[in-house]
Parts: sequence; C-alpha cells; structure tokens
Amino acid sequence: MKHAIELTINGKCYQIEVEPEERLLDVLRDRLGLIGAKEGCSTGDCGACTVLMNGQAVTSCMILAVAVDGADITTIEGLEKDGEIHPLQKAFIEEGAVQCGYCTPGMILSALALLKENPEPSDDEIRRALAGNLCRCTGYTRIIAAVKAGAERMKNHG
Amino acid sequence: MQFEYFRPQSMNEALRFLADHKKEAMILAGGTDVINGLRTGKQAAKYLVDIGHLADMKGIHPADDGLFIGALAKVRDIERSPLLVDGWRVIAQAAGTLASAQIRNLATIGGNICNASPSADMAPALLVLDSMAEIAGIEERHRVPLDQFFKGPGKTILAPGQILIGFHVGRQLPNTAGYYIKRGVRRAMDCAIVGVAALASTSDGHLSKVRIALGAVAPTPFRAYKAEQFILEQGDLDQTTISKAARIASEACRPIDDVRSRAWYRRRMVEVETNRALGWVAKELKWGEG
Repeated sequence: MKHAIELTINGKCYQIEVEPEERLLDVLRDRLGLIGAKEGCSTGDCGACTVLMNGQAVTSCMILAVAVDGADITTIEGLEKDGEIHPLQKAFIEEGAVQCGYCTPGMILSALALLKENPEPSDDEIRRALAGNLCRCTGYTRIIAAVKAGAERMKNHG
Repeated sequence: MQFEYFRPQSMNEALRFLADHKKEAMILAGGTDVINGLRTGKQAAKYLVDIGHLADMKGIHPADDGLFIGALAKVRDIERSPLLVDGWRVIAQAAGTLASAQIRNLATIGGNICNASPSADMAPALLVLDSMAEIAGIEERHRVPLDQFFKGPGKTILAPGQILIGFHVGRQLPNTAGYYIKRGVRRAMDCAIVGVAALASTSDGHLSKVRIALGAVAPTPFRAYKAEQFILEQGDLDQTTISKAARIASEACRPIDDVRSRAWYRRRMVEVETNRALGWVAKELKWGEG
C-alpha cells in the first residue's frame, strides 16, 4: 500500500506517494533526481548517502521515507545560493579535498552539520564528526584542511 | 524487503496492534538495525510498527527516584544531555562511542538494548547504574533489572506484543564516578571488541559501591559480580586490588572468535581495559590521595 508523504527538500515542498520499503535515499535519487546523495555501502557504514534531516546529518540509506513524513531535508544540491556554491564547497575545491568525488557530498554535509554547531572545531572534533564518512582516494588530510578553511570562509561570508 | 507500514497514534494503539499481530509485527524506532535486517533478509516482518514518534517514550526526564530515559531517546541527545553529569555521565560518555554522528542522530537507546547485540555500547553503562527496564504489554506494565533483560545474542525477555518503554536510573551518591572504555578496530563506527564500564561510589572515605559491566565478551552484556565483590571485600581501589579484580573479570567472560577478534585477545583485553577503567574511576574519586 502506498502512503502519501510531504517532505521539504532544499526549501521546496514535495508531496509524494511512496511504497513502505522506499528509503529516503531512493526518493531523493530515483523520484526527484537529486543524485548528489550517493549509495555506497547501503548499510550506514560509509556515509556517502549523508543528508541533513532537520539540520542533523543522517545516513539516508537507513531511513524509510514513509517514517519521516514532514521532515526538512537538505541535500548537497541545496547548498548553492544565487548561482554560487557554498563557501565550504569552495574550500573543498581549493584545498584539493576532492578526487573522485563520490564521498564529497556526504563529507560536506557532515562537515556543515558540525560547523553549524561548532564554528571553530579542532582537528580531533573534525575527525570525530567525519568518522562516519569514508573516503577511499583523496585521503583525509586535505579534507580536514578543507573543513578548517571552510570554517574560516563561513565566518567571513556568513 | 516487503511489509506493510503502520504508524500507531498512541502507545495503546501500538500495544493493541502488536497484541493482534504478535509474530507478524516488528517494531521500528530509529531503524538503524531494523532496516539493515530487513534489507539483507536476516529479518522479516509482515507489519512494521513505527513507534518512533510516540511522545511518552522520548527524551530524558528527571524523576523522583532519579532519571527516566525514554527508549526513544536518540543516542546523540543522550551524548549531549545536560542531565547526564556526575554519576550518570558514563551513559553520555558511552553514547559518544557508538557508531558515527549520522547513526547517533537516528539510533535510539531502546533500539540499542532491544537489538541485544553482545557488543551494544549502551548496555554496560546502563548496567553499572543498576538501571531498570520498563516494559509495557497490552494490560500490564512492569520493571525488570536490566541484567535480567538479555537472553542471548539478539534475544531478550520481551515477549511478542511487549514494548520496552524506557529505563529508570536511580540517583547516585554524590561521590560517584563511572567510565566506559570501548576497544575496537577503529575508534569510530565499528562494534566493540571489548566494552568495559566501571563505576564506584565512596561515602565518608569508604568504598560503598563498585560496579563492573562487560560487553562483547559473552552471549550477552553482563555484570562481573565476582570482581565487584572482590574490590568491596578489599575495601580498596589501589593498583594491586584493581589488577586482581581485572584478572577476575577476565575469568568471568566467555568470549568467542569472530571477524573482529580472537577469543584469547578479547579475554586479555578485558583485563587490560578493566584495569584502565577502574584506574580512571579511582583517579576521578581521588582515591588514595588522602
């Protein structure tokens, strides 16, 4: 049986009918074409599917869409503002924190959730916040540098 | 993965539905274990009963006898709760060791306990605080000491139709310190190879309470009663007593070989980490410093 749900995604309201077994990740990617969230492990271990739900980082592969009726979701596509990418995204590019890019949307959203709570995190706090996001090519050193640079940029640009 | 989704509007409605569909129904809370179980086919259910929004099972609340932690309290909220200080801090500290930020934002303490993994990080912390689990059925409610709750890997005393409502954690003496150590392959994400929680209270310069609980080294999380008893008999938390108690704790475990660790290593690490956890507690209580 299908269920009617309503989700606010990147500030836009969507009314969707979902099967009970459809995950938030399936709805984002397959129904709405928001393919920024990636499917990696499908078991909540790799963090490639990370999105923000009501401001908090969550693994969208472990969430049934029907169970989060009414939620406010931010995906990587929602960070762009007036045609400009987010200061944190710019920092990832400038610091060379992106290689294949598969982990990047999840990394950036986990980092964004951290920076909203803690605008000046230490290296350890960044590592801890990103512990659920695996990168298999770039390496973590540049990613941590990018989060620090992003924190600076966000302070200056809001 | 195929099931019907049902979202009860109240606890009573949830209990009635579960009573009517006993073995066909599975409870969904945070979902971080259930969704994986259903997707991999390890678990199956005709009905998924989503209790995730039931308000009376949420949050952490002061109570006459201490604290009530709702089964639906998110692990992340427990990690950061301003109520979980002093003797209760070990719960928040253990919560911070569980999985990743993303999982902690979804996972509930009740789910961590009901999943009954031997390595569940919340179990040793709740055990050292003598927590009581509150269980509801269609026509009854009762409390059970948490150390009687686990029956084996993935098995609890919950009967079909029952829901774990939350945990009652008693008030602790002013001089109480507790600490949880998780030894894993990684510092984050992975399950514990060994989990050790230790807690002690002093009053008038005497040891009045000692608790040690172990995870991932037996079919269920459990209290190391003999080691606790030994320390109380010695009445001391000096290094000699701690070392002997740690040895006694390691003799109490029944570890297995698995993908994360060999049994002999687990047993050895119980001794090492119990030593460390008790040492931390002694230091926090300023034991032996006059």
